[in-house]
Amino acid sequence: MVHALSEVWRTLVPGGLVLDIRPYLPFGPLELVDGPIVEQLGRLDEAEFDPGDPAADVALGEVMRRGLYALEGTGSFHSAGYWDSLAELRDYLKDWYDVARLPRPLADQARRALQRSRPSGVLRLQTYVVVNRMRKIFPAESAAARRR
Amino acid sequence: MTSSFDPEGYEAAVLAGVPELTGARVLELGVGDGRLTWEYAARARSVVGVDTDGEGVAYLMEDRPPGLHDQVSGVIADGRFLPFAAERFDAAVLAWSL
Repeated sequence: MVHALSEVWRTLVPGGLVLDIRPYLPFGPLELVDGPIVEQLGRLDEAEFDPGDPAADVALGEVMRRGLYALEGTGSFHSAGYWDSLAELRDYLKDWYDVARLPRPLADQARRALQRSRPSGVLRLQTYVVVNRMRKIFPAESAAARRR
Repeated sequence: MTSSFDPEGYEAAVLAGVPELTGARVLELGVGDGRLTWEYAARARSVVGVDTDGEGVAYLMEDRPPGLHDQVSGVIADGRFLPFAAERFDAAVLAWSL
């Protein structure tokens, strides 16, 4: 990640903007949404994953320590994905297999909930998303800023 | 079967609130199929989307609206070895990619 951030730095003009948009896991609980009714079904298995995004945060800290970027601000929001079938939810979760899995009992529960609420019910998974806004600076500028 | 991501438009709102993307040459790392790209590409000068996933980049290119064919391009590459000259871009969007 430090290498990629250094490469991005190289390709940016001086003062160039970086928007780092990324999820902080764990996911919210899996929910069934049927109009105004929201039913919490349970949580994915994320036991093997460290909460937040520690590796990326360490990388960001490192490139800032090197004086490549200055952090201008950080924000966050909750983003949600919706699926009207278990197969599509499973397909989405394939990309997250190393950090989040759908346990069989929860999958069974989700299938039953979808059948019960057909055709209007959908599955929802919320994600906490963090946005870091940074500027490319030069190490010399950074050192001067520290001296000021 | 249908699915949707962020239909409430929170990500779109974040990108809409970044005036620096207007008229900018933008590098988007982790572009995938361009889910975030289409939220700002029309007001950028150009967007180069990079991803290691060739399938995603193929979708990005196929999904380009007619008016954005010249503005948006996709490159299959590793973010650690970007095949671009120094200081080519005004802004970078790291799209769920760090």
